[in-house]
Amino acid sequence: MTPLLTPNNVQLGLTATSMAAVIDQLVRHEQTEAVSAPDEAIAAVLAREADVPTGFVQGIAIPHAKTAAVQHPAIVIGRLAQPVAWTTLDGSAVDTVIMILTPAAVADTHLKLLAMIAGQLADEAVITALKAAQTPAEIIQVLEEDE
Amino acid sequence: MKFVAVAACPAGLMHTFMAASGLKKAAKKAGATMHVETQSASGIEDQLTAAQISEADAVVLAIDVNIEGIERFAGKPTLTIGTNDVLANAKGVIAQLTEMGAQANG
Repeated sequence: MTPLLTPNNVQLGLTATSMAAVIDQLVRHEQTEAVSAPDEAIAAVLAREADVPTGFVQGIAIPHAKTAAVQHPAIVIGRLAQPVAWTTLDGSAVDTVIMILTPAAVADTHLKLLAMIAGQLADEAVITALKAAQTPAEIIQVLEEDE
Repeated sequence: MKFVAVAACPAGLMHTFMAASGLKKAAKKAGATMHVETQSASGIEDQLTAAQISEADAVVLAIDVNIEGIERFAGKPTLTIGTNDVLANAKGVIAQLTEMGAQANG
């Protein structure tokens, strides 16, 4: 199984200036090879945002969708050059985006990984470390680290 | 205080687990017991037992969608919120539950 959390899946210095543009860039990222139908995947992520926005706190958003437009789960992380407006829980603009795409049927192993990342993000210390992380390797390490 | 919770979100991926984790951490900090059942893309995990529900002082449903087995909580002091409410302020949720539990017990 291809590892999902690797520095290759981190893009720094994204220049997108809107939420939709960020999602578009991340879905079309060359490492997101699991996506068979990018337009559909982008639509699915945007639909989820319209339903319940995924903006979290301190400039972090976790857009995600479960869609037949992807063949394998993919995690793509983007750090923006300039924060963009996003509906977040604390009103902050977003500069760190963790996008998760999963196929219609998700394997338990992948769900456990997502649950692990989700659990990490519920920890304030992890959020602080994530904001401070500057390189792809550091960002991945923060998300993987267990307490 | 003893609490039980159910977490569920539309995709059953991230928010369910973030809410579950947030509730557990906040309860632990407050010195309370918290059992969380997740209803996610992988089905029901950590399903609450009848004893856990019976012993609970209060129930929190952190849900953005309809859940299975909501009738199990009939008669219990129940706080129904969205997963984002937990993500935004888990500590506040625990405080509210503590108050509800104290009132129910008093």
